[in-house]
Amino acid sequence: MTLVGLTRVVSQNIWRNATSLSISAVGIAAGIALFSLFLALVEQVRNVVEGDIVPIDEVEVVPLSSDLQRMASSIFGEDSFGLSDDDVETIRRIPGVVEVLPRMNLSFSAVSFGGKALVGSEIRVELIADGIPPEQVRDELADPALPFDDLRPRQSNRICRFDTDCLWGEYCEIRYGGPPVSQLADADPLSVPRFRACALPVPALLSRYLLEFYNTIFAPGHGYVQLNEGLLRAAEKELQFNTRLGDSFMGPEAPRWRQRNLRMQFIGVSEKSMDLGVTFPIQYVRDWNREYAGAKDGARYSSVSVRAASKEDISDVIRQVRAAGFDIKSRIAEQVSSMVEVIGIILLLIALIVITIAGFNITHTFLMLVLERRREIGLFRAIGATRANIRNVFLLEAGFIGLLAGVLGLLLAYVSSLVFDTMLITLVPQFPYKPDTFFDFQPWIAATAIGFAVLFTIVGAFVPALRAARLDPVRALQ
Amino acid sequence: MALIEVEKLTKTYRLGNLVTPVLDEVSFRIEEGEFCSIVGPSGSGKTTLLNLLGGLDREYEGSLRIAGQEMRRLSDRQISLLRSRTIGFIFQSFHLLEHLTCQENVMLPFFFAGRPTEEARQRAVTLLEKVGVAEKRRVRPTYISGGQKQRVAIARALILQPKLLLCDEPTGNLDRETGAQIVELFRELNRDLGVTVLVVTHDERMSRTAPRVLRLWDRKIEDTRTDPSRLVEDLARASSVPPATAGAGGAG
Repeated sequence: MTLVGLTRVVSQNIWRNATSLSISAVGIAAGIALFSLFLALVEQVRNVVEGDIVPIDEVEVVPLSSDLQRMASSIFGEDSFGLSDDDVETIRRIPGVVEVLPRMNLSFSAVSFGGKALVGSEIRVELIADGIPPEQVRDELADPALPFDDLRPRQSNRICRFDTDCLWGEYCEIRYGGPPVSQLADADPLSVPRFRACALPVPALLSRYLLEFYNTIFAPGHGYVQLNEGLLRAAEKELQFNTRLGDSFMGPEAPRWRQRNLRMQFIGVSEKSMDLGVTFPIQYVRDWNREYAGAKDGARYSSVSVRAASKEDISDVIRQVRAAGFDIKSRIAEQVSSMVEVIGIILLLIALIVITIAGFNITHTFLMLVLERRREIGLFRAIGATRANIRNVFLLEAGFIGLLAGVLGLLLAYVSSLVFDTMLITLVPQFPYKPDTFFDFQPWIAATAIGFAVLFTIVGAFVPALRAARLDPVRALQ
Repeated sequence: MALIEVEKLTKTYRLGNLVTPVLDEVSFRIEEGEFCSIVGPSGSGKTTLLNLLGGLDREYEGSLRIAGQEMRRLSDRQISLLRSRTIGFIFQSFHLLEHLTCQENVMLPFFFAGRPTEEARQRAVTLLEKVGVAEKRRVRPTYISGGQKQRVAIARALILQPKLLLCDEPTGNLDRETGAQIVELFRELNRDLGVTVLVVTHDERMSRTAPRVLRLWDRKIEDTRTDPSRLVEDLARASSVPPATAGAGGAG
């Protein structure tokens, strides 16, 4: 039987039984609508969770905490607890790793205050910060107010008394001469040389996470202005915060006379910035650590952010990182991701149950059709149709119905998604990471949905089709 | 070569413990180009025999060959191919599909034979002309008379140029006059196209219009040949004489 002939017979059949077939197709379409809507929702949640909240193709590598030898050497020896340049190189060479970002934590206390010009009130916070190599975020920042780099070689260092003595963009900061703080604990404060010089503010990056945290929890609670990336780029002096190195609201602090003020300026938001804190160019952090915490804290990285080629590679990378003698700091990304997956599977199961019920409905409809077309099937056998021909007529008919139901279901899903989006965006108040749309319809979702529609309809029609094919032509014709 | 070769054909219906013998060691041969009728009272196994000959029923004992092929040994595909190429069926109740036009009904076997649609269309038009219902080709079967329906069904049976036409009570649902016209059409097809025609009927008079009559009686078959010179006369009588005066026998 030619495909043209088969298609012709099938289209005539569909036309003839349009009503009963479309009723059973509606069931499949509803199931498919639910199926693709859930898939699109899970896809979008995954995008938001994995792309913005917790990047899943990235992990943070730290020294192995259970490595007694390392512990011992860091306590008794000169070797600091941290990762060396060699360690970073070892991690870089692991297959599947496309980017490594060494990070150095600020290992002494500092406080920041400022922002009155911007948010209307002075914010005072304990500074939590780290440093990363500036060249690794340079491409990411579009036209920042200040370049993210070690700006000290570019500043004038002119001796000053007030900010007005300095060039535009610079401020007048206090500096100390002599050896670092850690070696000066008992020294006479007056013996340390002290002077003021013009400097450029230290460029600082915020994480999107911190920005969201500020906007949704901190700002509303204190009545502060909400911030966005555009504002960060446009504002200049308004986003400068004073930072006092060696000071703290709670913990150990450097002697009061050795604390010094400097100015930092937020220049942008970066995914590479630390989640709950600010990130500076690593050169500053290295020098400050040397100054306030000693030489060894300026030589070692606290962790290395590792980015894999893809999300699929991450588990392999993690395994190899462990094998190379390092540890992974947090599995929160994996936990969140598997939670999203579990919720997704539950939603898909619900959709599959609906489609399965619709599939049974298809079976019922086709059994009725076989009964109704009994004599016709007998006639087809008498005029030369094989059993396979009869079966294929019914299966192709089911396939067409499935295709139509799939397309209808997708349209239904898309229209519903628009309605849901409008409702959720207008009716539900702002919440952290609230996206513009809650659904991400990928081409693979459409393909899967139509595939499932066709598959379930064909599977539903399979038993009736076999029954039709096995009909005894003599009895069918009676 | 004989188109149909039947040897010691035995057919028994079994329903649980109930065994009903229908045909008992029946043997006959039908040559290509013959016009033959099978006659017998209802329940004598005429339709059973026809279903066996058409390969719709393949549970039998003995031997049954169509075009040299033993029916029992053929696969579903082979038997479908044989039906498609060699056999045309004509039924008492026409079995036309009401949702298709007459022409589409005629074209139907072409689709299952896997042959091109355009050829089917041309042939359907020619055949509908030949059986005299060309003007009804775009009409659905619901809107035509019984005689016209049977003509469409005949055109459908002929579209793949079969060697054998198996007709099961083809005039059973028609009035006498229309029935006679259909019989005349069979004779014409047999004469002009050389198609072997096998007509099953319970009507003795109609059976006598065929030169050869196979009479089913008590599970056996009796083969009789009619004098060809009386055929035309019989045909005329078949179309005009009321049923009450028509007697059985006298054909042999």
